[in-house]
Amino acid sequence: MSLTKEAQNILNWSDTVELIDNLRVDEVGLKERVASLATRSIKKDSKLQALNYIISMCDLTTLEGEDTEGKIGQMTAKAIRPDPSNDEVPSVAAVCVYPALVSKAKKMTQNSNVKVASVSSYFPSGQAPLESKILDTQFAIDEGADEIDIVINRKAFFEGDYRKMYDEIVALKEVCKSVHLKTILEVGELRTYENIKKASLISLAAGSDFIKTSTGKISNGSSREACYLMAKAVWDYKTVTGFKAGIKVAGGIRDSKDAIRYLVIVNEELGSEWLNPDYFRFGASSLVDDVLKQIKKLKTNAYQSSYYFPRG
Amino acid sequence: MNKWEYAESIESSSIVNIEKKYGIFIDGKFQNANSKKFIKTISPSTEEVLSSVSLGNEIDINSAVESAKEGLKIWSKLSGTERAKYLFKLARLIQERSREFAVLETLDGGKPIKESRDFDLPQVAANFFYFAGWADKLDLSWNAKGLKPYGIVGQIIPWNFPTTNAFLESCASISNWKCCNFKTR
Repeated sequence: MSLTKEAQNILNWSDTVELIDNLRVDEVGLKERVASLATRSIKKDSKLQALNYIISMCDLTTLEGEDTEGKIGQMTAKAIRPDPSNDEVPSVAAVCVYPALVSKAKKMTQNSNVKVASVSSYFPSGQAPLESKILDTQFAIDEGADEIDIVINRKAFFEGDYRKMYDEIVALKEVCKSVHLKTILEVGELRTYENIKKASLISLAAGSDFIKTSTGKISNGSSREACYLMAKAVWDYKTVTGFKAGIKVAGGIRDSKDAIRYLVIVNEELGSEWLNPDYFRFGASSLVDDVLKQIKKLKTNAYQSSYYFPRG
Repeated sequence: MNKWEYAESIESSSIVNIEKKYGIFIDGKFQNANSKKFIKTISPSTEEVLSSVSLGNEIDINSAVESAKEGLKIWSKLSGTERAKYLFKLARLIQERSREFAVLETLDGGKPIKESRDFDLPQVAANFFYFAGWADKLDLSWNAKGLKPYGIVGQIIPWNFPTTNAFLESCASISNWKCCNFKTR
């Protein structure tokens, strides 16, 4: 199996079938390994390094019906300079918004390194015809989005129509061209570990630059087990094709401790090359606040109240 | 980007002190071996020489047996309750310093710290507690009235669970009056 230049990072369907054929996951071993990775000793300097990584890997997100341009303005200001009282804190990687707010976010971030990501393809359900999804995605790109977060077609996936799911991602990848494509699996709805790995591999084979755990719209969004399996899928895909894909974890990651555990999983399963915003992201709305508090605590030995940090 | 280094774990190798050389333990203290021979013990993961351990010869063994015979005279007069006290104390001492033992076991044997910390050492302590419990109950069980001290036992310890096996067999024997064994590895 190999990729051709014209195909970008897309693997053809028959090779994809081979990749997902007879897929098995050892559930007990998986849980045991993930639990043991949660006990790594991250303190002082290594913790500070981890917290800075997390900030620089964050996609600061707001995906609500009530979002306004004013709110996006506030959030992008925070994204560019998360902690005005501390110069050493890096900017976040990106802001993640609905397509209608992309142009505003783009305007706000024009003089910074912060990218603008947009959800599309009828996020969060993905229950719409492909034509609509393409329009939705095209609109976000025309507005200037640097990255596109799409959802997989879960309807097709559960009906066993993997081909349809694959074809949709391929079609959206064509629309995206060089724009970064992140594919959301919604692992909380996939039910089994085999499904998570299968969906990961299909998404990667269809040309995703990133695979992402969750929309953040359901209660059981992300899990460390899912992140581990996705890391394994990324590794498998790299072994087969040589393409290095990224992972974005999102949905329910609210505190630094949890985020650090995800970082450990990626560090140990994929290596330190992946500890970099090009290959690993956190999608979060409230995580940044906790990380900023922890950084402050490491510096001053005292916890600060939330109102000392920017809102957004 | 730089590599991300973790903080030192509580099972770091710096928590243990290993001396350069060890004699053989006879008569309650480390003594120079008659053979004057040493073997190096290395850490399988780094191949670093951890220490040198004495290699005993026939004369060393004989003196160990002599010492054990002396010990047996005192030990065999103790009641089961008294013997149990020693074993319980040993069990608690092992529990207290379990982490250090686990690190040593891992350095020496190369097994994952997870195994030595979470299985080997807890098992050692549990064995001591178990046999400590038996010491004063032997007379009450299996028609075992009138048990007599057996004497000296020699033990050869296999390699795969050194600490566990060494202690398991020792505590079993001590509990049952066999008393004062010595071991070669």
